[in-house]
Amino acid sequence: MSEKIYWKGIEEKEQLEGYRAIAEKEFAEELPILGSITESLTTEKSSRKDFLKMLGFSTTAAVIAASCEMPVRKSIPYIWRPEEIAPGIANYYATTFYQGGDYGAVLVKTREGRPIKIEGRATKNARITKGGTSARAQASVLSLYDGARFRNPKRGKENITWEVADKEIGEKLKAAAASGKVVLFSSSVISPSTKAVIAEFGNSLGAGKFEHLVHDGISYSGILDANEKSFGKRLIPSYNFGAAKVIVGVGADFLGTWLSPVEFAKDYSAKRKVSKESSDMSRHIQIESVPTITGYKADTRISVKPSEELTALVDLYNIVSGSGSSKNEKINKAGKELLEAKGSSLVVTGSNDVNAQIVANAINNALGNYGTTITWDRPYNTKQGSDKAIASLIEGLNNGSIKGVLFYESNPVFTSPVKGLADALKKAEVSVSFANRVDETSIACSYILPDNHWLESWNDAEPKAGILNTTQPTISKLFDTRQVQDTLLKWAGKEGTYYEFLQKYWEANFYGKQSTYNGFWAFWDNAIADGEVELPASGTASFNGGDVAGAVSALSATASSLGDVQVKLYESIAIGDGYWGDNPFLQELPDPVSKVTWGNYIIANPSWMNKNGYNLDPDFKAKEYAVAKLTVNGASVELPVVGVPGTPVGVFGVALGYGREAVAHPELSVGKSAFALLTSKDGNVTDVAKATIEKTSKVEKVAITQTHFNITMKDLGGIKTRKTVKETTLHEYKKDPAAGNEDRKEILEEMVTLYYEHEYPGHHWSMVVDLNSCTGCGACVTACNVENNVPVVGKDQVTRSREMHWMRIDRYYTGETDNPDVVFQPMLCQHCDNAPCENVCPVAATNHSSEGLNQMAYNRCIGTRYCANNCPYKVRRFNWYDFQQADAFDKQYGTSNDMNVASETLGLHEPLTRMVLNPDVTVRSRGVMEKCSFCVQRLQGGKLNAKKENRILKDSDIVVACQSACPADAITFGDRNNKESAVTKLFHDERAFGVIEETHSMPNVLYLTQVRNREEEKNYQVIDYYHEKA
Amino acid sequence: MHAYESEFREPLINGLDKTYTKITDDLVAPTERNSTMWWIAILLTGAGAAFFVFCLGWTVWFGIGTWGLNKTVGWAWDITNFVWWIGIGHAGTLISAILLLFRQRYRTGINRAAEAMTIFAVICAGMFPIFHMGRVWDAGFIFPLPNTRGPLWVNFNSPLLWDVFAISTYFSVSLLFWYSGLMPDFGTIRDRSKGKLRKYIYNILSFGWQGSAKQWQRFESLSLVLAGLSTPLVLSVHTIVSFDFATSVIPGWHTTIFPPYFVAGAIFSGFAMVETLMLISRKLFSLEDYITINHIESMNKIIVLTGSIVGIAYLTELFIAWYSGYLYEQFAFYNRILGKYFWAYIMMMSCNVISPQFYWFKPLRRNLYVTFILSIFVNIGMWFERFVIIVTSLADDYLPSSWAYFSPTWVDIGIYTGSISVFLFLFLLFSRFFPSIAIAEVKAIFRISSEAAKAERAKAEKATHGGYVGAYTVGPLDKDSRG
Repeated sequence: MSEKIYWKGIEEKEQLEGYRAIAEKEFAEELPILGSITESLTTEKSSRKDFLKMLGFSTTAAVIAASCEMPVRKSIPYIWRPEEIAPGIANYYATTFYQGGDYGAVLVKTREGRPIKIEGRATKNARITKGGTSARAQASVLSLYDGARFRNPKRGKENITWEVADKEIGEKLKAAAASGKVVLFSSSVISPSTKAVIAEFGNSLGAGKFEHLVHDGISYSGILDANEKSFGKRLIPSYNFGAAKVIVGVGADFLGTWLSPVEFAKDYSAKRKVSKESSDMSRHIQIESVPTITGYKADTRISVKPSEELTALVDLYNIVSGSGSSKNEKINKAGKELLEAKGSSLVVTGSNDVNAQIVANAINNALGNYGTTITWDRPYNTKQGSDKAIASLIEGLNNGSIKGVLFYESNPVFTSPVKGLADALKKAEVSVSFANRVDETSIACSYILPDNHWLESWNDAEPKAGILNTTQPTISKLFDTRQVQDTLLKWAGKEGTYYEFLQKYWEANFYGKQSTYNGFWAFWDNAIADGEVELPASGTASFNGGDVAGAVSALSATASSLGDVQVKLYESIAIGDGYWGDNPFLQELPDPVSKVTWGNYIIANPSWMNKNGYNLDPDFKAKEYAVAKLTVNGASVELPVVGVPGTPVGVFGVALGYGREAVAHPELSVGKSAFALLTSKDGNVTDVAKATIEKTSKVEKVAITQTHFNITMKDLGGIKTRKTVKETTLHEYKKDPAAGNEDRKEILEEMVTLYYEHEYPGHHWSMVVDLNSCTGCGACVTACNVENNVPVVGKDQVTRSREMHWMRIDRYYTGETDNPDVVFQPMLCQHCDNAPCENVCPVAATNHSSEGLNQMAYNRCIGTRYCANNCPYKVRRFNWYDFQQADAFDKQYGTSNDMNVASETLGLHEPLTRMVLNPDVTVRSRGVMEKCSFCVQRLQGGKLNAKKENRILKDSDIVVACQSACPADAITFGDRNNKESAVTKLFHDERAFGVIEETHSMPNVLYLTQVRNREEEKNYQVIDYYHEKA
Repeated sequence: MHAYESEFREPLINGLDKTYTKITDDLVAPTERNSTMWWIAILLTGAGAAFFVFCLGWTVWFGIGTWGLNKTVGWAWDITNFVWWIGIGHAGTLISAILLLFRQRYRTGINRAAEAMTIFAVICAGMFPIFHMGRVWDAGFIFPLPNTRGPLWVNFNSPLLWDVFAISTYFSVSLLFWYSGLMPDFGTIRDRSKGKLRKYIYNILSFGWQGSAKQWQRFESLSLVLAGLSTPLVLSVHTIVSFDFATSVIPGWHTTIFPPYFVAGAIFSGFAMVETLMLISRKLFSLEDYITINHIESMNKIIVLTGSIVGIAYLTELFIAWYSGYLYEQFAFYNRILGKYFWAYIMMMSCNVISPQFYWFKPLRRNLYVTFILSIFVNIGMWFERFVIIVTSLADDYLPSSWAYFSPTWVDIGIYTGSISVFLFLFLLFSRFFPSIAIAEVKAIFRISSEAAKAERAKAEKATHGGYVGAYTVGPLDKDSRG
């Protein structure tokens, strides 16, 4: 019997010709990749040679593949996968940042359960900071993974368990309460629930046995006391810089550090956005001594001594109240302008002198600003401290009335201007620090009970009255720490956790005040999801007249007592009161004014330095600056002297917060503490004082990132200045929108080329930076560092000009040396369409994408550095060492001081700290070039999302890291192929210009001219102050 | 080559006692005797070479961060040294190829050592582009090799890639030229060798040279072909090296004058280095009769010519910077002269432009001491020229915000001084084991340009009362001739 033949179609049965051809092939279509090889094999022409070639190749390939030892990577899968975590996809949680006195409404980006980046919350859920963030908020995520955090409770240096701690401290607190008082010493607490917990704890100790003392490292005691006198409320009202037409700041760095800088920068820059449609920008006059970014951004900066800041307030008061005038014409003019803008002006002063603040209140009252630019409906809670707190603590400890102290979010041993707290603490029955990282106070305490990091905590916050924020944990506790509130509740004998307490507190106190949600859980869940709830505003206050005359005369007396040589102690943008001294990202953030990293210094007038033999041009000698000794009231510091244009002669500025000694890594202990220079007046510390200065024979290296050399070549004559930055006045701008940018037309006309130009069929990514908005604060720099795994290199490497920042803020002066205008210019890879770096790379490691990106293939880079040399903008950064411990080799250094790579010695190579790295961004190894990628990971992410949703990419889909962090909305990013995008419109704005476009690099980053709102014309030449030697 | 040469022309081989045998004896002698001086020198330079290796190891192990470079100055001593060595390596080919084609007989006394110097200088030069790489272990990426990385290929637009081709070609051709010239001389040494091993080794080195007419004919043809191949290389290599700078956008680099300016500078420094070495060797190995004042003077003439070309190039650059009306270009040159690196510019100008002008005077041109000192000056000056071009242009370019200052570390200094040691170490080995003057070629001009031949001819002339005595006259000189 013959076998049955099955066939599946007529073509098979009949063996049609086409069918046979297909059936004989293994694959229905030719394999595209192996075309040439398969062809030669399948055709008869294939020879013995071809066979040998194939054999050789496959044997070699197999040998290579088999002989490469692959590391065994152990990964543990989730046993129960959390529902919301998908590997590779980021989750964002709304939470609230409030650390070291700095508040921010933020979103936390988590990847695979670890927080890696802080973003601003959407404006609707961030009524105060409106989506902006500060450099400190950006950098704070690194502190979570600080290997130096306390990992368990401690008695002295000895590790103990929480049970032992609770038992011992509980007993000691009882004993302390029996013989005296227990004090909880903290910085301003803005969490209403925490305050309730503290009250519960206090009650548990018995009436009169507990006190909560509040002290802020950077004091706002003066303004609080003044408001108590003027308004009967020890609070700070809301300032609306967006509503003010004329702003006069007197020594108040409201764009950098004063009160609520992110909020103020948002409002201020929104009001000062200039376009053809709206050129109604506010006018800002800054009267200040030590230069700040606020003064540098001002339309008119009046450079005065600190004492004259005080008399300026008196003069302004006299002018606005019609009872006098100033000797300084500029101040008279400012007063006149304020009067012209009655009801929509704003005067703020950063002085901690009660009288100065009373006079400022009187000025604003006389101008009718209360109710318009200053409102009492939502006063700030972020500053509540009193300068008397430390004195009363020391006194109480010394006289035995205080027997127990608990320190919460406060480091008074370091920030106190008076010494003796550490010794006094020894007299206490029990002293407990809740610090989660080592600080000066914790080492003076008998117990350390580490608090959770804020990213591990539940909490709430009320930065302004009625604006409630929530804090939720974004990672489970890394160490055996316990939230302070839980500890206090436990000691108070309360059942349940702080989380439950928080919910109950909200249900009892806030749920009823809102009407949006029906049912507490709906309210609570939404509050957590949004991060913010707004309750109706309430509260008014009226100026009671007070003793303005007394304040005026007291202020004049203070001013005249300050003498010729004065010191002003200021808060550094990065380090604050020293709270951030152990954060490497912030230590390496160049100060916007001086461009110095890693340490503090004495700011002085450059001409004064020339006359007194200080070296102004120290780059010749490896950045070594002469050291001077500055003495105030018997206390002195020795610091290098750095010249800053705009500082008046006889005025010296020193940043507070440096010189932390109790830090985990010795590299972080930089600079000298200037808190001892703070003097006290009427119980409030005052940041200005009479001083003496003398030059020492010492020199010290200062890690400065921007150098100062002659750039005008006045001697040769006839040479135009470099138009790296361009600026104009509002007056000129209204006449011609291209004012200050007239030469660009010619540059564009001359831009012809014979060569092939790139095509951008899909997207064409571009950025526009508004120089008028940029305050130079550095939030973008830190955001970029965190987003793109930019390494910290440490003081030594910065001194060698090797900082790795992908984004830097260039600072240029124009005008007179003693009171210049300043332009800040964020500088990053310009992603040139005709990039000089691309054609010089011998291995094509840097190349042009079809979307206009100048991209780096790190794996391909062999590190010739030719690209960096040929970059006209010098934005490329080379990995001189294995900064991020990403090398294929084992670590190579740590054996010699020469090889002291800070990122290693700072603990940034620890597996724990490396959890902060963004998994979407390659960690670069030694010897490769890197630079701004336009956040290509975000571009790809945005495109993928749009694709998943099957729609065209929208302008708002992609926000790059620097753009999202910017509190001044200076950065616009988008697709230039999208004709409707904001960036396309700005590209065609008359104010837009590219830096050194005449090289035909065709940058994809354009800048908008700086516009100053003033009549008088200054000489807009980029000056070189260092060469105007006296 | 045998032709009549005027009696008045200064001889190129001195000594009335010279015969073909004597030449062989004189020139092979350094390879046949032990010298304490040589041992001291080889140990010193060997130690320096070992330090060079140590510094390179240090760099590779710890990173380029051990050098003094920074974010603004990405190249400094590394590429300065590279260009300097490549420049020095130019004299060899020029002497062997171009002077051969131009039939300059004086080349025979110096070509072998100059070619050796070229090889060693190119070896030193080649170290720098390799070890200046951040990831030297991936250096193979610069070769256009078929690979499994998809369509990933080298970037043919990059001057650094052109360097790879230019230098490897130059090195191979120079090596071939040098070695093929050595073969007959190795044969000579072999024939004189006493030891079995020595004979064996030199036999291998000579590729079994027999000295047959056919071999000589082929040898001559090869020399001509290689000379023809090398001639364009003399011009192309430094032209391509200059493209590293000329094709960039950095003011002070972006200059069309660079190719001729660099080539002239290269010949300038190459001849200076030949002089430095020759003056020492002729003394050490008693070769005064073969490397005569006449040779020195000829080279000094080339030095004053190329030095002046370089000087004109410097002035042209300044003029063009002013004439361009382009701010950045003007600043770059202003900064060169009066900026923070003014001292480097002064060194360059005084050593390269001013010092060779002494050679306009014949007594100075023929003075060995002056020549030695100036040859060192020229090499210092040419190093500074490259430093000035590379570092001052980079340190202060377009954006004043990123201007920076470069200062070398001990590793930079160690690598540079170490490379000089490596060079001298190799040269010492060469002069001890290889004939450092081309024996066969010197013999080829013996009948024409030697003092002995001229004296003999003069004598014969007198004897024949003014009758013609040609080069083919057989006389006492030809006794014991072993070729």
